[in-house]
Amino acid sequence: MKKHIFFTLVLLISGLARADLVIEIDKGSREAIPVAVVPFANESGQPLAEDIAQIVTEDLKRSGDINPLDRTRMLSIPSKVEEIYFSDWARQGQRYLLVGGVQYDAPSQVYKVRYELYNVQSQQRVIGKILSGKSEKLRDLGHAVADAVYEAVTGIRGVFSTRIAYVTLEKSGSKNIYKLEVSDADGRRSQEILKKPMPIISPAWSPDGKKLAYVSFESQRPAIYVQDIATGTRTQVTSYKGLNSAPTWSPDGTKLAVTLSKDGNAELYVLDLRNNSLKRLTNHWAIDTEASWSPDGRTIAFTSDRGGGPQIYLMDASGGTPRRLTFEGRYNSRPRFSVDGKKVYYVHQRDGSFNVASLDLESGQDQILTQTEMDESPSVAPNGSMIIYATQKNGKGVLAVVGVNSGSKYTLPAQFGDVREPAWSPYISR
Amino acid sequence: MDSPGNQPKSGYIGPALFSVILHLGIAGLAFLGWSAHTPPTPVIPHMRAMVIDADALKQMTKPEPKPAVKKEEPKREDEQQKKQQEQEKQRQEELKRQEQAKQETERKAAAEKKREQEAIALKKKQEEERKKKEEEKRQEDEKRKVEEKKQAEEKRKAEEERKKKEAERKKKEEEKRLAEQKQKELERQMKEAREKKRQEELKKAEELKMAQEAAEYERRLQEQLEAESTAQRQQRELTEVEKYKALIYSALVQVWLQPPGEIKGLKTELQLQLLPTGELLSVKVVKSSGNSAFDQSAIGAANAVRKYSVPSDPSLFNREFRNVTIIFSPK
Repeated sequence: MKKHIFFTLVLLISGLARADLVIEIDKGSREAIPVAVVPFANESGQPLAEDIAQIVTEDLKRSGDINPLDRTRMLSIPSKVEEIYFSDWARQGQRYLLVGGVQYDAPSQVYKVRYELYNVQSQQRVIGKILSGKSEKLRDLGHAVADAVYEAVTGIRGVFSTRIAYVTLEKSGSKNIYKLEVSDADGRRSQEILKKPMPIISPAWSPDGKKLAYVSFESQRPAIYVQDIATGTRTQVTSYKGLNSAPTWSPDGTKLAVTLSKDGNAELYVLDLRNNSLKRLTNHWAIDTEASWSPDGRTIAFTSDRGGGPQIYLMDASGGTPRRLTFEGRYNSRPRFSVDGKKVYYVHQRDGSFNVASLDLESGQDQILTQTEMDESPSVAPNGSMIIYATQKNGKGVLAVVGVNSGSKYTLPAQFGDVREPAWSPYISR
Repeated sequence: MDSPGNQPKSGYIGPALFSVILHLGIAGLAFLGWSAHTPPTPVIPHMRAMVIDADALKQMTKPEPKPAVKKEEPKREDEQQKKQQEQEKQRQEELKRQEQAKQETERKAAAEKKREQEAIALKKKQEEERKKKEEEKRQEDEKRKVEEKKQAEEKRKAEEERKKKEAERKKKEEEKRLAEQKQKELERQMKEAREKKRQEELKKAEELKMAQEAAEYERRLQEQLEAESTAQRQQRELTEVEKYKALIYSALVQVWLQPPGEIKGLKTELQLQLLPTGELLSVKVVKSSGNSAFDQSAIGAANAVRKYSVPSDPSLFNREFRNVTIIFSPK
């Protein structure tokens, strides 16, 4: 009897032992991931207008989440799997390896960009694809490769094919030329949307990425416009007396939250674009402005000086009592919800300098993200991993990108004199 | 010695002087040599006593007889001869008288001498007597000494004998004692040897007993190990397993490069096949997190570990570490 029990026990234990040993890994390091982007083989038989691998490298680097290997440190330039010595790359600490080639089909004038991403450790191909496009699309193909690689490596959708809108100021003698422009996310291939001698501010992308709302002073006083990017068609949506400013789109694209002082004081209103109805959200003697919709459309964050100085408040999108969110410092403004709705980014003044900061809504934990002096207008990339903002460099306005995860900074090459008011587009299907 | 008839003065002065010197010499000799108080000379064996001849000594000391002394009776002749003879007689008488006087003197001298000689002789005799006595005494002494010596010798011999006997006795006793001692020693050694042997036997027995006990213990332990202490072995192996689990955990934590962004709640389950050398044979995604990059980061980490820490015990390795499930799920 005892023996029976004993054997049963033994069997039970050995049976348990036969189940795999389980080890749970609950932490790791969160550094930029080393990825080697090997120059693509030119198999087109002609010089290429664009260096695809270079575009990919710069895109990935700008994210701050990926640390591309410097080309000069590469021991070999493979373009196919059979040319890869994985151990070399592993020894150099690389986690991923991107190889590829560009071919050209003369009759159709189409370029074929082949790329393959390998996990250096497991030596397995992670992704691989062939993209096609004409000559003018080579940069797009490059960004598309970067997006694919970024997503494969980070799990986050790439934003290198998205666009940014911004305002430039050119001084020509005594005349100012304000331009609203849209460019690739890397600042290249910019196109002029609007050009005015009067200030243009606060561009805001519609959720579908097809329209821009903005404030223009072209008629001597601020008015809010919505413009179709592809067609150039523009509509003035508000033209009340006093302030008409800070338009932001509701997530469903049907409404604009705006700041109007038509009732004597700067208050928040929601303008329904479908029927032009206006709904007042705030009712306070202080200034209420710079609304930002939460991704679920339920909450609006805004700036108010009802506490004596500008601070961030939250309120229901349908109205109600605002609650103060920020308490650190005497100046907090220009809130923007993070993509996941868990954080609010804003401009925070500290020791006389203005920086981009973030505040975790759940924990109340705040964090300064930038260190330059005159940072303003933060705008979050649609994947939530980057923030573009305006800052000053050599006395001129430039655009900079900060990686939300890594904190890495990247200044976009200044194409023009003075750049301000950046707005990152949503994903755009082109 | 004086020549006879020459210078009467010197005729007896010499002998007298001589005798005096002799006497003195003898006396000195006696004094020096034959003193009763001389320390006894060592006894010479077979020493013969020598008797000094007194006559010879007398002869040696006797002055030579004077020729004049021997002429005594005067011759009678006729008258003329008588007158002449008278004259002669007178002269003869005178001569005689002179002679007589001379003789008297001589006699006296002789008497003196004789007396002296007698005295000397007496003295000599006495001396001899003394010497004889001394000699006798000496001889007696000698004899006594010899006797004594003999006795002493005998005594010595006896003593020696006694001593010898004693020594022999002692020797015998010693020998006996030694023999006894030896015997005793032998006995002791034997006893000791016996004791030692006994002890060794005891020790052996003890050791044997201990060995038996150890064997018994071992057997019991084995039994225990095999039987009721499976749990214990499990415990031991569990500890081992925990150790290597921890080592693998820290190795993976070090090489895992987590993808950026929000990864909380993601969970990738990999099955690793390991070799006893700690090398990775294969990685299989058992459960995907649904996030391919996250899966890839886990796969990369699993592959990035150069060598896994695994137990050297083959059975334990086979049972626990040949297949390991790794769950990557950040907190």
